[in-house]
Amino acid sequence: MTATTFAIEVEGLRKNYGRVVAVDRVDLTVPAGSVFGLIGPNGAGKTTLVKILLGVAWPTGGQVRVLGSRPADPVVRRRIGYLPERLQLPAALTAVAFLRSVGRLKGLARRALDDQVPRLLTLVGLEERAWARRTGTFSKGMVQRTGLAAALIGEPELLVLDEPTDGIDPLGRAHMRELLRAAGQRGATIFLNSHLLNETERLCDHVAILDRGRLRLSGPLDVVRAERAFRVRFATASDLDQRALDCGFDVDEEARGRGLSESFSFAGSEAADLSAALQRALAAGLVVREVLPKLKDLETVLEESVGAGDAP
Amino acid sequence: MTLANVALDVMREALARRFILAIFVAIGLGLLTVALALDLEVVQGTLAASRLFGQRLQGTAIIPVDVALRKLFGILVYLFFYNGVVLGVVASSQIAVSLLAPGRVELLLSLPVRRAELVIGTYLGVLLIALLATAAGVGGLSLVLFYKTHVVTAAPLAAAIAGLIGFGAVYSVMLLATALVRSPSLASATGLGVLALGAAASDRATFLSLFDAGWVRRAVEIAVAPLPRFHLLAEAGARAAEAGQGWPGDTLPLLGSTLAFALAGVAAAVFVIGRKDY
Repeated sequence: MTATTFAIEVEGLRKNYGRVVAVDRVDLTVPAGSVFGLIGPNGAGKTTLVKILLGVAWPTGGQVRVLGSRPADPVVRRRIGYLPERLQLPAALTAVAFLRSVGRLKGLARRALDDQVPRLLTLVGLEERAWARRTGTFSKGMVQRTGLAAALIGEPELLVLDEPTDGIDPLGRAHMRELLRAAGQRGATIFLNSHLLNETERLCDHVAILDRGRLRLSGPLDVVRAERAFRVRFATASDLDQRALDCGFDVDEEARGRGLSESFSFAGSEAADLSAALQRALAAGLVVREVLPKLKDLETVLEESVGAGDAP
Repeated sequence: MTLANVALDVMREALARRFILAIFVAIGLGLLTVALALDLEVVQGTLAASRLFGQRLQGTAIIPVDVALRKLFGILVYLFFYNGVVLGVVASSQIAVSLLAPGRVELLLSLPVRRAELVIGTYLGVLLIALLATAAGVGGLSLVLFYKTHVVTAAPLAAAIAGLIGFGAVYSVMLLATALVRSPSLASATGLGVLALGAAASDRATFLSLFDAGWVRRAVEIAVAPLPRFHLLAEAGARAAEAGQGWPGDTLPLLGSTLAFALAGVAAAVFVIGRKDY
């Protein structure tokens, strides 16, 4: 295992609750600096996996390394920020007092707290008049924003976020995406557990699919979403559809439905086959405007992966 | 450092709770009432007259004021001990429960804090609050009496020590109960149960004589064996207050066994929380 390449390394991880297998022999690596999305149906074991990564739950078997160390190591946890699912803030404390408490436990000095606490509360979009209010009076969205500020305190190298946009309105979600992108740009690894596939698709560059405790699929988003096909667009020409069909292309109804006229698909993943088809098209006098690999949406990928898990 | 941070954070959060603030306000109002209603006339080091709400308190005997104060504190130790511990049990039952609440404990455990530090820090934080409340109550009363008599006595310290050690033992069991089941009601019931049983079984022979000789008495004897003898602790505090010469040496084993009980309770809580999945 190499600590420098991967922020998280999991080997043969198992977690049983009595007879119930929550996580079953999972091998997973999260590249350092990536925005990694963990998706899967309810009860797939995602939150259990996240808790094991943070030392909140203990594994039954297997190995876990986070930033090169065991999750139970307090030193490594200084470098991690975490937003739990259904975060509960101490109702009697104000947002400022809560963040200062988290910062102190992370080992930050008073001066650093004086600097970071107001900056982070501003960054997450919590209105200044709410800073001195008891968090017991906060809405769900305000709790999430405060929780995100707590996760960001100390500029962690690894951010683990469990359903971070839960309870946040669409504008707030866009704002949170921007924040996470900014964190990614400063080099932090972001590990996102979300049931919102659209959010994951827009934010993540790597994904993994967990289903009934088993890892079904993991890799870069483009690779995971790639179909064994390409999308080709030609310049407008007379009798275009028939000429393209003669060269081995099919009309791409799905793309045309989205307004991409003159779109065709080419089934197959071999570059040589595509090259030959394009040569035929050029010889037939067609002008190629664009060639792209066809990508599935994440919902389709998830359905296929979970469906594949059902197969005997 | 982490331990101190956890303890101080527990204390800060507790002091931000309205119920605990109300306790401190009540202590302040009580002291103000005593200050305004208690009238002590001290003539050449003796208590010539004493009145509470205008009613005469003492008989005709004229006694040195320091002796009178020690007698007073000898009685007050019981009041401080039992009322203080019961109030502490009720006031602190929510603290560990709220720290271990789902959605809160996960965040705490993801911070650079060892589980043992979290448990011990919570325990120390609660003891700090108890110390503050004791200092406010006992210390405030001492100040009021000093203002009225110009006599300084170490007697209140005995009440404070007895109360704090007793509460420390009770809270350790409450912490263990919370580690096993997150319920403020259960924590309170456990604390009050241990206090009541420990106090009742302080004189083991008398307590056990209430049960039929045989296996029932033997079972009760085993059950109460580890419990601190709370009433003896309060008595030792009262004796110390009346003597005014520090803690009686013959009760040091009692203090030691009560402290050992508290440590065992905290260690058991560390063991349970250390192995638990959250």
